[in-house]
Amino acid sequence: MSPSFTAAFPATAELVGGRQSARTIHFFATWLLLLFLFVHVAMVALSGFSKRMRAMITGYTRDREEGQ
Amino acid sequence: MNPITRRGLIRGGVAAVAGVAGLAAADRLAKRYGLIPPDGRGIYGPGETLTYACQRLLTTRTPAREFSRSMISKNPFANAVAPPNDAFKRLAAGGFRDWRLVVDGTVAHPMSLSLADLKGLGLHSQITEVACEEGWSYIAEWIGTPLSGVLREAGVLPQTRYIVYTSTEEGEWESIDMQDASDPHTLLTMGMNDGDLPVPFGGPLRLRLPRQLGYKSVKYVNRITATDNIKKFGKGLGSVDPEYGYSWYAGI
Repeated sequence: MSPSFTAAFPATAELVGGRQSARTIHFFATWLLLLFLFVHVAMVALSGFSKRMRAMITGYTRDREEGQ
Repeated sequence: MNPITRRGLIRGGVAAVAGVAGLAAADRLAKRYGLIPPDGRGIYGPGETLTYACQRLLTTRTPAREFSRSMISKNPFANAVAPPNDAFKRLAAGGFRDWRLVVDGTVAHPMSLSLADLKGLGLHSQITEVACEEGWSYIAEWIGTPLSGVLREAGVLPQTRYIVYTSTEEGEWESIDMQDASDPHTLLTMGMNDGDLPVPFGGPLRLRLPRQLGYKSVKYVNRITATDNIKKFGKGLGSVDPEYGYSWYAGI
């Protein structure tokens, strides 16, 4: 946490229990976000990577059974 | 998707011109109000400038965080420093009685102050945190005399823009702008937790700057130079740290 910013807005540090507990929360939040990312990329890959990428970019899908 | 239209092109052109004009105006404003740090050029320059300018606008005139006495760290961490040189060992053997702080540059009265002289300027204490770039931090009570008092004694000339401070450690120097230099929490520290400031923590004299990261709080300070031209020092980036990729402004 920025020593200058927490001087101006001490509540931002106190809300998360101080600098060191903020670092702990940040550490686990980072892993949770990474886990979220890996799981979702894996889901895209498992359900047909190019099909899903095409759908994401163009907004359309060519498969009739999926496109309804 | 619509095809490219004349109207769309005109709209895009106007937006681009407005954007460039806005950036140029922002640059001029930043220069006028001193919102560009000494290391505000090169690849990372725009980022440094954005941080420094935003923090100057948002956190101006807010005092450093102070803590209660019960929050003082039981085991403060003294970061490893280079082994003291011979001159430092000699001064230490003499109990730092011959330690001198030279004040020069754009001042009316260049001075050389002993630790006793500094103490004579009035002692203040503050319970503030040291936060290192590496992540560790501790809270301690720091006792010393505010830098602003020393600068007042020396009669800093009005054209002064930066205060450069130098350590007895080879190649260790830093600088701060006048806003940080006049902050009452910017402390020439001689004591820590009711004792003399121990050598591992920067004794006999450390410049404490609690609103910036630990590396700005230079240990073993023996020279303070006021200047109106920071480009004359080192590689002109404001301190030695930007030469190694650290930020000059470490309020972060």
